[in-house]
Amino acid sequence: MRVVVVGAGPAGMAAARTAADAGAEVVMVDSEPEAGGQYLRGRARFEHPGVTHLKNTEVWMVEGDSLHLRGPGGARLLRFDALVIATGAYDRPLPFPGWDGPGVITAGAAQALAKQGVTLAGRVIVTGTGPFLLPVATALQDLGSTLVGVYEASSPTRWLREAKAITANRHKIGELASYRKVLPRLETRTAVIAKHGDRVTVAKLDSQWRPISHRTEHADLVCVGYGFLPRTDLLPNASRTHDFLDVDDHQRTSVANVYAAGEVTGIGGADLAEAEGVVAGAAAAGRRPPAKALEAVRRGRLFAAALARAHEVQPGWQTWLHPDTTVCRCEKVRLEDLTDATSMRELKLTSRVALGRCQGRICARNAAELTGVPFDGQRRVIAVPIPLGELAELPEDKS
Amino acid sequence: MKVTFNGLRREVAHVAELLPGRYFCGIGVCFGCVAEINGVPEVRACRHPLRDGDVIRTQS
Ligand SMILES: Cc1cc2nc3c(=O)[nH]c(=O)nc-3n(C[C@H](O)[C@H](O)[C@H](O)COP(=O)(O)OP(=O)(O)OC[C@H]3O[C@@H](n4cnc5c(N)ncnc54)[C@H](O)[C@@H]3O)c2cc1C
Ligand code: FES
Repeated sequence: MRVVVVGAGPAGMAAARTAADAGAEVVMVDSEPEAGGQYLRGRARFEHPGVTHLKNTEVWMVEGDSLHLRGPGGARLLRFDALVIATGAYDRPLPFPGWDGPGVITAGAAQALAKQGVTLAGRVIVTGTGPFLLPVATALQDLGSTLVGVYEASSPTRWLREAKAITANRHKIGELASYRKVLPRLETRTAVIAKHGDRVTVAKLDSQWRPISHRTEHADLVCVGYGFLPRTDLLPNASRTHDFLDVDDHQRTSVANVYAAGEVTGIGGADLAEAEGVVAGAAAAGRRPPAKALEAVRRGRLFAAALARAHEVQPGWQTWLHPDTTVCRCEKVRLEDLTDATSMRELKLTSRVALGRCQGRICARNAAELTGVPFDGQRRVIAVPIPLGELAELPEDKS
Repeated sequence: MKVTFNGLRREVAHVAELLPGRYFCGIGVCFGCVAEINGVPEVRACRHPLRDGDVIRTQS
């Protein structure tokens, strides 16, 4: 039987190894030149008997029991008996005046650059919510940037309610110690709410994230990350909660023979992603998942749920925008262009929000919250825009 | 790296430096960095390992 794994991050690598060890023929497909995903960024030396790793290959659609791939050899189809989706997540930005201008990137982009040894500016700010801001700030500082501030919009006291999750995951607190160098620059209940040139407006926030006072700082680069959004576009019709794929205790999604592991199911760090990968890989190959991995998943999910509660995005961010603030970067749709719509579809067609190149990956969630229409998940059919010529040339042979 | 960007010679450490306001997510999701690279249209520049001599053009 053939198990195909999409994504070669901690979750995908674990799923591929586990499924191969259980006797399945495994193909692991990833769009990057090397395995590792966002956390390890090409530093994982992946090689495992029974696993074929297709590098530089993007999966752009799942159709029945086949995947549509685009890689160095052009477009092709790959058939599977069981599929594991381990495509990870990306940073959620929140818009503010100036976020679409130069000198603003996502925190993940800053981290990805830092892992390549590059920093874009001398004076930097990291703003958003969640523990991931700290490694990003640390990496920028290590590369010689001047860290003007790390601004966490939430209040740290929200973690005091999460004693159970913390005791089950003590090692996570240990991780924080490695970021102690940047803690003196950390301010909570604080956010960047505007940027004009190098003049950055930094606000103190109330518990709903409405600004209560502000000041000006000078920075060349602002890195933004308000949590993560899952890359679920390969399964447009799978059942989901807040856009994260729903899975059962064997990592099965609502789609037959399709499993999901890692940050597509929720955000809990690389160790949870890996444990989910082991469970999904075993289950996909028709084996009972190891008890140790199931237990690691159970604990990790406690932490993930606490993280989601403590760093939930609060609605006050909507007051940071002006009528002419960009909401959709691709189509340059401003706040005042958003229409009174009752559904996401109507909103897209009447305002053009989320109809651009990114297909709403960056803006759809924010646009839904700004207008109050229900967010429909990101129901796109084609995950990667492809030149039309390639669609026509798709070979029919199933390998 | 020595590259040609919209017809001008530039020396940069990373393609991100050429695309302020467009290089945004860094991981192939936002499509803000789409450019023509060495004659290939619609390339997400953030996923392209830059090499000496690369020719990059941004379309409007
Ligand atoms: C930019 C970024 C940087 C991060 N840096 C850190 C860090 O430094 N430290 C930390 O603790 N956590 C970091 N995180 C959080 C980190 O993502 C997770 O802890 C962990 O990497 C999740 O593992 P995963 O296997 O679920 O997904 P990922 O590691 O994200 O792996 C998913 C893989 O799937 C591939 N993929 C996605 N869609 C497709 C497709 N359609 N076709 C082919 N391949 C596809 C991606 O290229 C990627 O290689 C970062 C997150 C992001 C978004
Ligand atoms: S920077 Fe977002 S796709 Fe390249």
